[in-house]
Amino acid sequence: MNKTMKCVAGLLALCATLSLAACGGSEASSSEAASSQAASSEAASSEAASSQEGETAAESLRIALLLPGSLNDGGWNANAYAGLKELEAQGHEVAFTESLPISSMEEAFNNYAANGFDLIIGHGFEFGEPAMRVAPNYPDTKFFVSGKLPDGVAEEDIPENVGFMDMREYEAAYLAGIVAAGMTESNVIGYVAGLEIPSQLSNMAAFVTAVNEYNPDAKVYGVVSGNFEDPAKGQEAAMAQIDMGADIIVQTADSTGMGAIEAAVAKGVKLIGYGADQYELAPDLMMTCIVTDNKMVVEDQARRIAEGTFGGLWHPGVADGVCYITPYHNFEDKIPQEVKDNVNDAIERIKSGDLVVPEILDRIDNKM
Amino acid sequence: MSAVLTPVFFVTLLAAGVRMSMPILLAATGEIFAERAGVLNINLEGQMLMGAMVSFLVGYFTHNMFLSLMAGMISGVLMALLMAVACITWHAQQVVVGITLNMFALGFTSFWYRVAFGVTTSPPKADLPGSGEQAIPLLSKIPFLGEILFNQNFLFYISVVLVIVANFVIFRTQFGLKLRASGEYPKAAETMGVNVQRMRYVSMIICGALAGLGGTFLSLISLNRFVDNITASRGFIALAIVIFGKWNPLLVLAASLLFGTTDALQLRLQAVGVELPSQFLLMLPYVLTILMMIITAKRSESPAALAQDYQRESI
Repeated sequence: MNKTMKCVAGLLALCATLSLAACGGSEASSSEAASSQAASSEAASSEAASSQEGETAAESLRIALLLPGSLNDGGWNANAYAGLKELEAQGHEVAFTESLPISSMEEAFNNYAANGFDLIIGHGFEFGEPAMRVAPNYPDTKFFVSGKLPDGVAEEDIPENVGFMDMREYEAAYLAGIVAAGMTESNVIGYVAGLEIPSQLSNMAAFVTAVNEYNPDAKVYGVVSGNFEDPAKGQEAAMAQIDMGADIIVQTADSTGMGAIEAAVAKGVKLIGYGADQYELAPDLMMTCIVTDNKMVVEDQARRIAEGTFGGLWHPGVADGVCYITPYHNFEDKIPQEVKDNVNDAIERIKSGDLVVPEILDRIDNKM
Repeated sequence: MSAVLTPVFFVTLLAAGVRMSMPILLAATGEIFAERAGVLNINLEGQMLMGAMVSFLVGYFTHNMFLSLMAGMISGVLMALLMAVACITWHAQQVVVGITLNMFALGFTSFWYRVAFGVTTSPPKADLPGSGEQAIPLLSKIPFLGEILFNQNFLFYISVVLVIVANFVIFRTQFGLKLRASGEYPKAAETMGVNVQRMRYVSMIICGALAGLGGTFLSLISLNRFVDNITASRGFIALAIVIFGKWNPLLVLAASLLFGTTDALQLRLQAVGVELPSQFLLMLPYVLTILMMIITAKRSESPAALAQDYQRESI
């Protein structure tokens, strides 16, 4: 009997604490929300704590970033985190959760929203559906998803407090394709992708389109490694392509791509990187990198909230300066002027609207 | 199909297969010791991850291959001892402890890597002698075989020797007999004067060292870098390979090579543009492993006391 009573009392106490935490709003600090999350709790809470001390201007927001992968992937996630750090430097209070499995995304949104965060950014198209489900319950919280609209959701169905970014990264991939088309000597180009998801497919297809247009003799062979976090596999994928005669390796696979870069460095094969300016990883081989400026994307949301222009579907691309290819660095002199002119010309035509890079969600790289 | 049916394709395929099977082979060989002694060491993944991270740190700062290998093995052993203390001395459930320690290892390695290098878009690279492939003079010139077997990292030769030694130790020595007895019928072994708990500790130390070495192969030998969760579930594949290889080092060697080669094959088939969905090719090695397990596992040959706690006082 005594034991049962203790159990009941314990449960009641637990419920009370939980409900306090849930409706506590600003008192229940962000560190609590963060610590209920996996992996990065320590880092997140200490950050939240440190930024609370430096409380600044009235428009200071509480911003949470949800990442699908590891912070240290040198690409998609690392870049967004850089944006979050920038926001912190501007006086906003920030927290983050990394390596979120799809099954926990909705819960993560709920947690941060219940703890009074003003803006929650889900970094990737896989956050779309969870955001759409959670958003109606928290009208005062803004949800931003850096990815496409979920299937079956029309643009006018987006709630007011939700923003989507259907970025045209494939435009940058198209530009990289022009460079590769002009630089390949063996006319075999290896492309290491992470998964067959929309952004990866459209990138590969746009890259292939450009290669076909500018160098019809060249062939692009794609390998999908199956995930974004297995560099050893990326390395072997690139090795396979190099053994088959590839003289340019393109990677768009974050951590997996690190391995592809390593294989190319070992064999002295030219590279096109992804996610950030990866020039330092292979100074003599990296021609350029396909980049979506996630840092800018993340930062920009705070500005849009302040201006009252947050929400809806945003289609940034090369014309907005959000997607681009990085400078050629050591290849500045090696890439023929004609190729550079082609790239600049394509950029101009994309900006003016003369050139619409097709968004193809299918594999069109070479098959036997 | 012309690109597939060439000598170059087969030679590079088999060479890649050997490379890809290495980390799995090392971990699986270690796991044979643990399981033969009755410990189901699900923490293999965590031990590999520890080895990968610590050896990278040591390699990055000391540029000394020997020290890095030692560090990788010792960190794997420490991780294994953590599991051993919980499961053997404190009698905790082996599977539960193993899974928990895997999560611990993932968090621990990611955290300390960040403490050392921060979050960066250009992760540091360890430059040290002995990574990558080393051609053996003369032997590597043998057509076909030379490229496949004698143009590998030195750790490959060490592992092959380790497998042969492991096979001898487990089946031909008194130590091996005691080890197997501890995993088959610990009570009988204890009656005959075998210290079962000590045997299990020793087996876990061997397992941790080999798993740590497998992790080291991933971070230092092939990649020269560490990234979060670099092992990418290879520890779990090694667990399956041990069953597939019937707890026998030589069969495990064959099983790992088969898995590694199939994995290399699917990447290479993709690279030459075979008209098959990539998802199908990606699952090829796993499907093959399952199929082979179904075909070969007519009768179970697992150690009888596998994953069972042993308490001297219990009747």
